[in-house]
Amino acid sequence: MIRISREDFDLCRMIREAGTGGTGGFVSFLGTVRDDGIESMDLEVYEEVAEKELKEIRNEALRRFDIISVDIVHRVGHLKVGDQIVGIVVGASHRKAAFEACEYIIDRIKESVPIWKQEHTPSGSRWVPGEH
Amino acid sequence: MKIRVKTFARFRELVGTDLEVELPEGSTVLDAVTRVVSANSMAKEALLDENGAIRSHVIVMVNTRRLPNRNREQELLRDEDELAIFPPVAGG
Repeated sequence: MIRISREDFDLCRMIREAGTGGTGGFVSFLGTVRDDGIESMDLEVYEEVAEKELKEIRNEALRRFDIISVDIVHRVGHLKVGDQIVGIVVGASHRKAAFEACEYIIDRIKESVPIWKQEHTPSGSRWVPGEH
Repeated sequence: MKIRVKTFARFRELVGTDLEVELPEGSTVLDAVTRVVSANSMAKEALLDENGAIRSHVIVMVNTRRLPNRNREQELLRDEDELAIFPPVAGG
């Protein structure tokens, strides 16, 4: 399942639902809003491109690594410190490929999915600079 | 011809989004970007360098396809195209 969501998600449920007989383990990544002196943040998205890009990242991970499944949820909208931002679940027969694929997926998301974060602090708002 | 322009994040704050821009036939990506920032010096500074070229970190898409930096300014636009202009992404 690949989804851009305005609602929260349940990582444990994602793992339960991804299970197949051949899966020997899951590696998950959960990104949350860090307290860098901020109160909240807004995540903005170019939705049709972001979904397409997430699917492309999943497909590339399935080609590159010996894994069985990839599920990704990325939230957008208004989030507070501690809120969940992104959940990734990779299922595989063996753990090594799942760890590698999960790291590959979060790195790719950060460099190519059109989502931006605006942080709100007591003294004003700022856009998080992207990587380029 | 008419093209639709979407911008995001800081660029959206500077010029707005879901803009409709009327351009002469044969206009390029650079023509469209130059038109979008023409009335706003902060937007011009953010998107174009001192020679009037699109800054290298600015990402440009036409109909949801990312244009490689090389030669993107000369890419021809067609009626009803959707041009998206945005700063480097910062999700995850």
